[in-house]
Amino acid sequence: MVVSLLCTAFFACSDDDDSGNSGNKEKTTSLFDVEEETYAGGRLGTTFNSSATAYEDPTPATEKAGLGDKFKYGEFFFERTYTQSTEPFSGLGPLYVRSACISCHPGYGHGKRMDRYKADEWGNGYLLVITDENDTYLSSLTGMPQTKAVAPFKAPINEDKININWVSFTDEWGNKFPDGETYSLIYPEVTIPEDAYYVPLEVGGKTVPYSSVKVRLESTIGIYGTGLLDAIPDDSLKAQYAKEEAVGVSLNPSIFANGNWTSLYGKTTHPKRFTYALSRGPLQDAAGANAIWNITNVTRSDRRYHYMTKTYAKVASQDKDVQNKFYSYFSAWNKTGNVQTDIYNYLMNKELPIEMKDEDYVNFMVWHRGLAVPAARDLDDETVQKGHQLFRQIGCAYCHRPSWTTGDDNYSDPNGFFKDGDSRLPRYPNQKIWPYTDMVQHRLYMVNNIRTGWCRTTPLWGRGLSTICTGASDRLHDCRARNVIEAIMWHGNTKSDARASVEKFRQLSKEERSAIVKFIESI
Amino acid sequence: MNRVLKFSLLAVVSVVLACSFSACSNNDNGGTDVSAKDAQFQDIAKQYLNNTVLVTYHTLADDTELLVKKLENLKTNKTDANVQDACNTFLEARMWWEKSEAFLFGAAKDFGIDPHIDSWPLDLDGLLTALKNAEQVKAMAGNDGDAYAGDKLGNSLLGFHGIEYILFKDGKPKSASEITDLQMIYAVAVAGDLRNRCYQLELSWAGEDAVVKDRVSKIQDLDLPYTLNSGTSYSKNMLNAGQAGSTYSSWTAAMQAIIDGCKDISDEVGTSKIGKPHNGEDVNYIESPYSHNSITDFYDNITSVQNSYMGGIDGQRNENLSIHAYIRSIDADLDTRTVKAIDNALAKIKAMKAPFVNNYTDTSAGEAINACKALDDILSEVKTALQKN
Repeated sequence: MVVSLLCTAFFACSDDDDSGNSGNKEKTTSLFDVEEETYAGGRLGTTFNSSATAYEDPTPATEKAGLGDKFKYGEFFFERTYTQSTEPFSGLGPLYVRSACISCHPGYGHGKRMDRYKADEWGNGYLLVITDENDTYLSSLTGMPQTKAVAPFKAPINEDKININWVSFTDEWGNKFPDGETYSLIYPEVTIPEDAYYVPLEVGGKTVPYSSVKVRLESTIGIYGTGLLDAIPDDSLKAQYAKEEAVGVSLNPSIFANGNWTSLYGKTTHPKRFTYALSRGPLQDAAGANAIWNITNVTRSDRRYHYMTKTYAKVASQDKDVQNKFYSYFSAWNKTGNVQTDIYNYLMNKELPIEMKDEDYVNFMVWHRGLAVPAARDLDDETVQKGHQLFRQIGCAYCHRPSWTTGDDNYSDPNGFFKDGDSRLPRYPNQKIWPYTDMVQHRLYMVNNIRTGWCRTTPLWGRGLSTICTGASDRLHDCRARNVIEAIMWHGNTKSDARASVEKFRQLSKEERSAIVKFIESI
Repeated sequence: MNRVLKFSLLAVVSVVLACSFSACSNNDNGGTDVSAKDAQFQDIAKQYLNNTVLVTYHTLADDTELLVKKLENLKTNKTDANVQDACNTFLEARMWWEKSEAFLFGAAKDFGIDPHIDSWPLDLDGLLTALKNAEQVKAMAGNDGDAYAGDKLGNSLLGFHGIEYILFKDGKPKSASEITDLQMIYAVAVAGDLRNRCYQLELSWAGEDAVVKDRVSKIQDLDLPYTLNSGTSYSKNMLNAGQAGSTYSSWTAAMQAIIDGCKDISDEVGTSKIGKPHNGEDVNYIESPYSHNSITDFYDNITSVQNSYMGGIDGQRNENLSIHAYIRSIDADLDTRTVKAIDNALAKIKAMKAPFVNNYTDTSAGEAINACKALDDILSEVKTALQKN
């Protein structure tokens, strides 16, 4: 069986990277090197804070480089609520997804499970994923649809009409372990009535029937440690893909096939490494660098345009309500006296005034790249050690690859703000890190699955501190799992890449299952 | 935040190993076997909760409730004396909020209450738009104006600074003639929402049994959360430290959380609240620009640290039941330095040239920054010391 072969090949003695050597420093009371694994972000990337701000600290590398103050200055742009034109956090709108970054990333952690979609609701980390039945995004909406607008504009979607319904699910085992313990599984069904859309429903510019539109949710996962992940060498990622392919693991052909990348990030020579859908490459142009522009619609020197669709611009420019008020709200944009033209040109303009100063963007990236991973806790504990061992024995570590070693970290910036390895940002060369992800997409075949079904293995590091940092501990891409057991059991579909591990998990005793849970909460 | 370099792995590993062997309380035995250190920490926690946290939030709830009444009064009777009266109550309420900032962990953070009631700057364009919108004005003026405001206006139009803008100008109460009726409708609605969230803070920490029924009903009617997922209050969560279900894995973790809260606000005041305007020479980063209340805010923030460390607010303090007493018993020199650092930060802030909005580049601001950073640093040492057996 492929999976058990993999288990032997990778995890015989250690959690090391693909060098295959055991590297266990001996501690008489431990089965592995506790000290090494406690430094989840390496010596340069770990914070020993396990209280409510555990996800918010700067890395030692940031402090050592004298970037501590800039880190705090950058933090403002993540934490504060944006305004339309009142400085210093201005530029909100005309359309926006949220008015503050932190409301989607509560406590810098995973989004919270929601019963309704409200942009202003604290901890709502959901993006609406609106596609046709072929998983193609609607082109009349932005990829991350906006439900908020500043006067006199109207939101592309009326969020008051969005409905989230949580449905019970029973797996093939009746949601029950062989020893009788039960668990509960739920998943969301999201509906948006046709009249909630302000824009026509279009894919590739052509109208599609309402019946073909699918709505799903994707939540934020926690932003700490992305600097460390960015420092994993491209070649190491490639080697991981090649290794998996060689033993018969099913890989996403749009990312990797026949020993090689089938797509790279944008026009760069770098592979894709961030987001569930592997849509972004180097961190300096990944989700954060992009979101600081498009979530709030705040322009900067390399993004002097709105996050906007042509269709929306057309609809808004032809909307009498908007036309009647546009000049009174946006008097500076009365360029031609033809209000329809002026509205369209404002919305679609490519040389808008710059709203976020370069200096502030640099500070923001210092903060973003500088966020530390909390140290693992209680790795000396007997039960945690048992869980550590079982996690590997039953094959979880196959996709949730425990560790990597970073390279020189001469990071690159597709946006051109920073030169390769620029000293203005903190760097993490030669660090042993413990994110518990192989950075590869797999498929779990969950009911009401993630878009396309392919999902990058989400890092597990730091998640045990979620409750104290965010007030919640929901897991999985749409927050459907309310605890670790539920998250594990959602891996159990017959066709799931994790099926064999789940079958093994089910055969464990209650004590052993709890040990795995405690371990997962400790890393 | 500058805690990383000062907090060693050795301390972490040694206490974890120690707890495996010693009689320290741990999750497994349900807290029945409590060491002397843990018992002392438990007493400190009780004192901290009752005489720093709960009394602060209770008074904040009372004062924001009173503020609504003062604003309603002002709305019906727009006189300079009533403006002054409302301003006084505003500043009193604000003081209690600022004195809570050493314990923003918990409800203020988890439920987004902090950004809901203290976002800044106010979105002036948004405010103008709201006041021009007849539907919004009608809703704000209605009986449920507070609920409407909280639900619909967005954080950049809510909280202290929205009210501050209506009441103050250039550091002084406005004259009544400068405040329009529309602005009063907004102010009353926003104050109602502010009060509601302060009720939520009080209830979240104190628990239903310890809060006036009207306040509990109000929060329940608004469908606002007020417990952890485990169903307990934030106080109970801390009092259950070391037991299953508590977010505090041990009594030491609970004490460290108290100190972490102090560290966070010390660093925030030094590096961000004073530091950014001062070093960036940017007046836009000053938080209370209309009332010129920034220096008082900073002072109250560090008072919050003092209350947390020394065993209670002024008038309800018991220094014997404090982290100060514990540290003094294990490392008197560290305690002396900590008390000095707190006093120094307070003194340097008090000595800042006022108002901050006109003097943010002054050297006195730089000295206050250094004092706050030094306080943050020494609190890291306190945090490490708490780990020792």
